[in-house]
Amino acid sequence: MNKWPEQPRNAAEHPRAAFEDKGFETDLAAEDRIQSGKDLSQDPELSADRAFRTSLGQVNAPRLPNELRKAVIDHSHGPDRPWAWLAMAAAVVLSVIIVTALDPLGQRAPSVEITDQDWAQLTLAIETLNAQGQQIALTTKRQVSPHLIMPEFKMPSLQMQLDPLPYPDSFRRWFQPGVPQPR
Amino acid sequence: MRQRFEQLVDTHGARLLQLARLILRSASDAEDIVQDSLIKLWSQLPSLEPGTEPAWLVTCTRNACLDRLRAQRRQSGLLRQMHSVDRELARHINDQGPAAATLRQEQTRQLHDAIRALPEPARSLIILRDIQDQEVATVAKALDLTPNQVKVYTFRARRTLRRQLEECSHEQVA
Repeated sequence: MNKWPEQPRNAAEHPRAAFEDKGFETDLAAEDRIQSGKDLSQDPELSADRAFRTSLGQVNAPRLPNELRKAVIDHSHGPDRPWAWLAMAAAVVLSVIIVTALDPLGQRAPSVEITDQDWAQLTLAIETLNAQGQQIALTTKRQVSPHLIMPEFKMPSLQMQLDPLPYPDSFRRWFQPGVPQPR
Repeated sequence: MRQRFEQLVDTHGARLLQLARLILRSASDAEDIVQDSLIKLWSQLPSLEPGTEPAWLVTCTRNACLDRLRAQRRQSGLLRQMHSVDRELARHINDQGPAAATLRQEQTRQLHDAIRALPEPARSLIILRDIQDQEVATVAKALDLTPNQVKVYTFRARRTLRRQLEECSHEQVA
């Protein structure tokens, strides 16, 4: 769907609904005569209008400055690299999450007693990593966003918010097999 | 799409700049607005139907110019001072003799001032229809008018402008 720029709200600048006055038809016919150039010889006013229109048509348009053109065209070639940065940041965060989640598997030892203090430390470590991961993602987004103005992509709709990680309960059973699986 | 965009920039860029310059006094403001309009065009291009871009560009540029004018009017005191400086500068240049300011330049300046002084939509109609010779349908779409309104309002604007310039010219002769 076309996104058309809004028209001015000022009634004086928005005369579509304006009353088409009595002289409207006369002026319309006069304008058609000026445009066609026919039957003007008997009306000096219309001849003068046509001559004036011709002189207005000789006003030259300025050249588009090269700097302006270059800036606009460069913008259309938009920076693609921030995508790579965003992908890298996401990969780093994901790696930390996976390593953190999977590493305890190799150390799983049912015979080892996990105390509440150990568990509290582990939870704290996971939450710290989680918070840092989110912080990295948000910082990256903030720094990268200004370079991500692309027509096909609306940055405000990008959701970088990560859901809270379910580690504490999900993985507790790896450490304490007796603990019932969380819902 | 980039090729289409570059073609639009090359085809309509200069006309847009002319429109902005004839509405605004400042050339740098005009360039800023044209640059913004073209950048907006790039972001809107995928959603615009082919053929509607010229009208879209005119609407976008004109709206931005009118917004800028309104902002300038809010600073009217400052603006009056600037105009005063401009007049002094023009007088100073003219005092340097015919080599510095030719009659043709003076007429052009008078024409630009008279166009700027027209109310909307008369000003835009003179620029788009008479100076740039844009299609009635394109102008009608850009200014949200009917094609007949475009013709009639252009006729009236042109006559008003012509008479103003004639009066100005008679005053100078007198």
